[in-house]
Amino acid sequence: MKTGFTNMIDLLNVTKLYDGQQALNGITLHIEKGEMVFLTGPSGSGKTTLLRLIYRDEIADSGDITVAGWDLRTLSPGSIPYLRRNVGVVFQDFKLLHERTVRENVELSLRIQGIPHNESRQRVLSTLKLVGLAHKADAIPAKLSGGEQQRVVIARAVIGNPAVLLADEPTGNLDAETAREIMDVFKAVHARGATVCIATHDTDLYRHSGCRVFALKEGAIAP
Amino acid sequence: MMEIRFHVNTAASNIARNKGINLLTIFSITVGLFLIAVTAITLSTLKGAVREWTRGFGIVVYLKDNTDQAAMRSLKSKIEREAGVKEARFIPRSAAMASLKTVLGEDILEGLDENPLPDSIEITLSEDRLNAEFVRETARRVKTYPGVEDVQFGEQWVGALFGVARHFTLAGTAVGFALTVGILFILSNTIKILFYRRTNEIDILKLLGATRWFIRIPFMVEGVFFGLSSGLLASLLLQAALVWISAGNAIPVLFPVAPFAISILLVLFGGILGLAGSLIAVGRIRL
Repeated sequence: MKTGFTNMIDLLNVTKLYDGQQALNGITLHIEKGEMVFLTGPSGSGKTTLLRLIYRDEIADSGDITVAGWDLRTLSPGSIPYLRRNVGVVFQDFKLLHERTVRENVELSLRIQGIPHNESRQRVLSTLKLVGLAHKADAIPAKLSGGEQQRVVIARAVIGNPAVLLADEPTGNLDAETAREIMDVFKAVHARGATVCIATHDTDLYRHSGCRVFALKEGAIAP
Repeated sequence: MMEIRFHVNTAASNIARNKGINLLTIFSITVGLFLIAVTAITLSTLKGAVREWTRGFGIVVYLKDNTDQAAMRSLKSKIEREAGVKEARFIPRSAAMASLKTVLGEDILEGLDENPLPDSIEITLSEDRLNAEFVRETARRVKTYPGVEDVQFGEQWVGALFGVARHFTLAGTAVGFALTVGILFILSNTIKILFYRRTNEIDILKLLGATRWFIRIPFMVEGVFFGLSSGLLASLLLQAALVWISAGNAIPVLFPVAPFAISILLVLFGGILGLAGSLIAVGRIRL
């Protein structure tokens, strides 16, 4: 991770268009190091687009984005993998490898970073314990429930100790009890020092959290 | 080291998942490599045969009638100093006539009052210099030496034989080149197909921070695996074919290198083609 910056995520007047349609319009927001925030708004308000800009899956049409000290406007394609190793992402559609076991899916993040198997084995086990899935380490993701698969995704996102953790509707398909358990995992990760940004339209998740909430409406931050 | 094991494991599980296309690829490359080896051995056999046929070829230098002994000796030593000349032998006209009588019989030459044959020098060339151009050039030069009446060297034979050998070499090289290109084409296309079958997995790896080479290496391992296993199968096939040919004792096969070395070269060549084919494929894919 780069050093010498104040905010973990900075967006300045960011605009994004899809086929001429404005997905984001002049977004400006700053998220401090170690902060936990929520992005909220109805479907189509631009939450997912905003997250994808932060992990450089999309490029802004205008404006400046800085993440963990990386200026995304000038970031070279060769540097994108190194940015992403500092940004763990919990995807709405999980994006798990179904031919690999839970253990292998979670370990993948470490293997990508070049961490050897004997070192990563212990970390995988402790991370799976953190998300309450140590007993399912050798299971195939398809055999797990939606909540369990979500935990695998979280374990994979946090195992590399990323500076930033982004989550896109992490409780979207889960019952209230499982959603609460998932939120407890996010709190634990946040307590370890990560900056956490959760996109959700579930008001129950952030109502009593005490965290800052950015409400998006039609691609802009609502006042 | 651990990284390599991880990539090899990834490649192995991918190979196991796509048995159909992998077997088809290995079969096609095996046939290609086998044909390349057969072409190389055929060319080598042909070159050997031409070398054998032309071993006895030489240049006959006919001397002028009035050439004295000193001039003959000087001419002989001058010829011996020519590059590529293995031996220069003086044949007196009397010896030439005796030789002719042996070939044609005494009766036919009985009516001759005097020996019409000239003195001559027979030149034997080194085997490594036996090519039409060199023979022609040496003969042309020797013909200009003082005391030389005429030079004969079976120009048409030499030219035709070497011409055929050259055409076969060219054709064989073209066939080998085309087969190599074909193998590379099959390999790179197979790798591309395997790549596109795994786009979902690759997208996930990219989102997790995998570099281009982390994604590419398992495909290169697969390419090398295809090449090596095809090379191994082709060499087994070749050895079986050679056993069959030598059992029939039909053709005296000449190898460009030792038969065992051919097998090793085939496996290595397969591996190199596998790596090259996969590099072509992954180099063209935009990550």
